[in-house]
Amino acid sequence: MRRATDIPAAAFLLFLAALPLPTAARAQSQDAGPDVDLPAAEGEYRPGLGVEASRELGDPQGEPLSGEELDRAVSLVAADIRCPKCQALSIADSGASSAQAMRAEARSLLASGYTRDQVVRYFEQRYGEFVLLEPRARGLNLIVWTAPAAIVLVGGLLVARRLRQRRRGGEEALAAYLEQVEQETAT
Amino acid sequence: MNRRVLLIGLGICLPVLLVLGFGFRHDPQVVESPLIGQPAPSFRLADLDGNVVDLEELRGTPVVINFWATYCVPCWVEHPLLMEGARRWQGEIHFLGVIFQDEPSLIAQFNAENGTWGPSLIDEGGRVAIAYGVYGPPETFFIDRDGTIVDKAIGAVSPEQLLDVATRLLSQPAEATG
Repeated sequence: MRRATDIPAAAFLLFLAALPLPTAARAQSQDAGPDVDLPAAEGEYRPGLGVEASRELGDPQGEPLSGEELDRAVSLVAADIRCPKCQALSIADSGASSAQAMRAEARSLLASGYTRDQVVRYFEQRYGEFVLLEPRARGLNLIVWTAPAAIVLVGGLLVARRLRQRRRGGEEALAAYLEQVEQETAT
Repeated sequence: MNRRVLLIGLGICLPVLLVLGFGFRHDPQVVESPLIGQPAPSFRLADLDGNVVDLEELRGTPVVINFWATYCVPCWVEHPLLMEGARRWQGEIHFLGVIFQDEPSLIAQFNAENGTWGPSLIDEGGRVAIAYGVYGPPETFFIDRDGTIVDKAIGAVSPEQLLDVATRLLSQPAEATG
């Protein structure tokens, strides 16, 4: 027979399943498009045309990077940025044209002396916080960060309480039984 | 029913229902653009004929920027509407198309077969699409006379939205622009 204490446990599981996880992707149903060759190689653009990201970002706050140092910095940034067309994939892990373009933009900015934080912020300002693979721990996002620990804590307390009740109930039943035995044997 | 069990159940189920209610009221395919209300990123792009369009030079006139591609079916759907819009507000609103990860030759062929509603600008490296935070075509940005993004359409723009935003854009007095 199902006990009343099973209800909170089942509800907790339901709550856990309903929670949005930090890396859960929101579906993008827009046309993924074919993988086309981008006209510009990574970090190389035709001068005078395009968009000046520096106008949006302000002055670079770091040192211009190159070589292996630049490759490492691009990899670090790319690992933090979600591919807009993919399901929970970073632009480092995706082969989509959009991810390719964003890696190229990150490379171009880092090579110009923009810091990792500036580059990540640039993408966030364009696409919104959704583009961050790990949402920032603030506002409603705090639910996502704290809920797992809170669920484990509350669940643990419930289990501990149930065990204590069971033990206490067992002791009381044993005492009552012994008392009954004692009374019957005395007569 | 045991009152305590009822309270515990409610305490657990209500947050779940709130989370689900919040989720069901929002379209998971729509991500709000943080650029609404912000200055439109400036760009200079060449069209298929090599003519350069500078967004800064269009300041003072509302602009509709549509990111599109020939492989995108909703782009075909909205094409006649954009044609009609560009015809209706000719000289009052600039209509610009930015090619989103597509071959210029395919765009030229599409334009030849279906007509054009504005210049098709070549976005090398997709940098302008990144600056506008475009997830995928079609996306349409509506920019007022001051160069501020006032609205954005994800997917094929509807006639109602186009009419509504165009009316708002044109109702902004020209002399108020800076």
